[in-house]
Amino acid sequence: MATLVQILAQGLSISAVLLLSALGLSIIYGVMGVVNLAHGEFVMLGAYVMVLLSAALSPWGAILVAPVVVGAIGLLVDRTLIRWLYHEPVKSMLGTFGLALVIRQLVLLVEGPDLRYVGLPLTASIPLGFGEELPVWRVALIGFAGLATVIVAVWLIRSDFGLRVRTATMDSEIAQSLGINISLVNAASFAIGTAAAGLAGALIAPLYSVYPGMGTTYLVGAFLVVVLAGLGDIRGLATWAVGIGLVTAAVAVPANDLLAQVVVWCLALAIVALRRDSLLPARV
Amino acid sequence: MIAALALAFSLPLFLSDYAIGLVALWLPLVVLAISIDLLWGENRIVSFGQGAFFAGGGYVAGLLLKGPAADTTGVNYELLGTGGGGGSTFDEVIKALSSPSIAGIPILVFPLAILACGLIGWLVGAAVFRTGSVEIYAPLITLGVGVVAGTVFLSIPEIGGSNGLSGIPAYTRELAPGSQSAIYLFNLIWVSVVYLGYWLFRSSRLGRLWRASGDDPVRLEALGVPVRRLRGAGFAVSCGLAGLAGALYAGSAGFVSAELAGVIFSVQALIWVAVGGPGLLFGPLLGVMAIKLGENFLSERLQESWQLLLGLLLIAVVLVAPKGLAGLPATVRELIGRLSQIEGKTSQIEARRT
Repeated sequence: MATLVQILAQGLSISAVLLLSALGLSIIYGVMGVVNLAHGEFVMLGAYVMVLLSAALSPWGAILVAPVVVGAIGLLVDRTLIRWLYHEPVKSMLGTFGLALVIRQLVLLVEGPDLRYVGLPLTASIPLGFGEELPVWRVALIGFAGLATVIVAVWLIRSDFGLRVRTATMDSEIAQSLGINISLVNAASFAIGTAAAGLAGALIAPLYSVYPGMGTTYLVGAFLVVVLAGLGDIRGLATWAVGIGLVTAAVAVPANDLLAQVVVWCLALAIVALRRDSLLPARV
Repeated sequence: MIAALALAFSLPLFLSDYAIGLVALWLPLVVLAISIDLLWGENRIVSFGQGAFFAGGGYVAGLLLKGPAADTTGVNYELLGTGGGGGSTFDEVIKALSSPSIAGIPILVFPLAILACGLIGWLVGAAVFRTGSVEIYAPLITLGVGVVAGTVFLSIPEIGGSNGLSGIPAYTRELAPGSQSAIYLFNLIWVSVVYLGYWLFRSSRLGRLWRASGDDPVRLEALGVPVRRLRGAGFAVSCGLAGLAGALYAGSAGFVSAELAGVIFSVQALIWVAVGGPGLLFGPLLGVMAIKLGENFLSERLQESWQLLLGLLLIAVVLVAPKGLAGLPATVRELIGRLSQIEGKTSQIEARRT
């Protein structure tokens, strides 16, 4: 019973982070046909904002500031580099991987290679009986990530600008001919996608160690979700994020993280290989 | 071409032992670059996991070259607590596999490295080529393969864990012990054979079919070609080739570690091909030599900024010179062509004016 609760809590908090980072990836791919391999680095930047500002602004302030700062960096990157890579998936993968190396190395030069830690903003924990405790922060993390996802989803479905974003996702040329300012939509989507990654980074910073190379793990996990859900399909994301998170925790809690990673990847490969309709062709 | 080959084989006469040792280390990387070009240049598949197969081949070769732990010093093994006395099943297997040898070269190394990597590559390919957009899903799936392979290699104590496998003897340990030139020539023979095969393949019917299956898989499928099986087989061959490259590398560098399986190394290999020019016969060779020469001159002075430079280089190649070094003449010719077109037009206009 204790293990079960632990699996649920850990699994859902993994899912929450996966969902938040996969959301940004999926929006960016859907709107501008860019496969952003620097996405993990934006998660890392969010975590560093949390590390550097949580003393000055209080952890809560840092969590609010992180998406803004990272989104602004995303906007800058979009205007200088990403816009040359729109609708060229292969080129964009190489270009954004170069960007990832640059960001990681710059952080390494400025902040050094040491592991950094942040205290938990909520130190309380819920006693579960069985001598086990559940840190409140894990629950809060799940809540925050869910809330952010709902806000983005409502914004996409309800708002006027969201409608434009969805139109651009369907067909950017037609959208342009209808008078939609496509470059504004592109820039805003990239900023929002990276802001979501920054928020994810700020939320996980208190749970794990923060270092320049941490992004790769989150990038790979988020891509797994996006690949299984189908690139550009935002609705499938939540299901697959929860599924992967729970499977990871179900192996990691009784055994170890390494085995969990291997099991998840072998399962994912098998699902892709055996799926009847395979994966749908991705629109670029 | 023959002159270039003759020059390559006589290089040990002109260069110092140290320099030859360096170049000998770059030759296996050329084979790795060819395996990437086979996928990327010829079939539009970008793989972020080629290093995993390179490392896999390297570990196979390293284990067989060292033989059972008891035979070599076994320092590594004792440190890792697996015992230097031999007798475990793992040691027995290694002993059996490494015993058939000719002139100190365990002959099973190359078939084993190629087959093991090819087989795993075939399994990965089975998943990759089920997807609707291979161009997009292949890099993502191979990215995961690289990350997982890296962690798996790190966690197996029999292959050195996080220490890696060191003290691997060279293939030429009995033919010419301690000679850097011998290692260089051994690798050069392999590179020449692989390049010859690659050249013949590119101009063959199968090679054209392979290129077509990347350019327009749907049309080829409609013409009755089993595209999925063809690309799966080609992917497996490329992975086997990467395994061969790793096996050569292990015998030249004397050291293999899990870092080679990581995504960073795989991307470096992609950068060599990108700089050399994907899809051009001598692209892989030019790319490896150019980057490695640059790295050798610059990395001492730049230290940690080298990776920063590598990232910027990747961005620059993607944005400015998609055809790379080997494509530079074509790029320049195109530019001159455009310029002369403009010139022609202006002179026409001027002629009309007068």
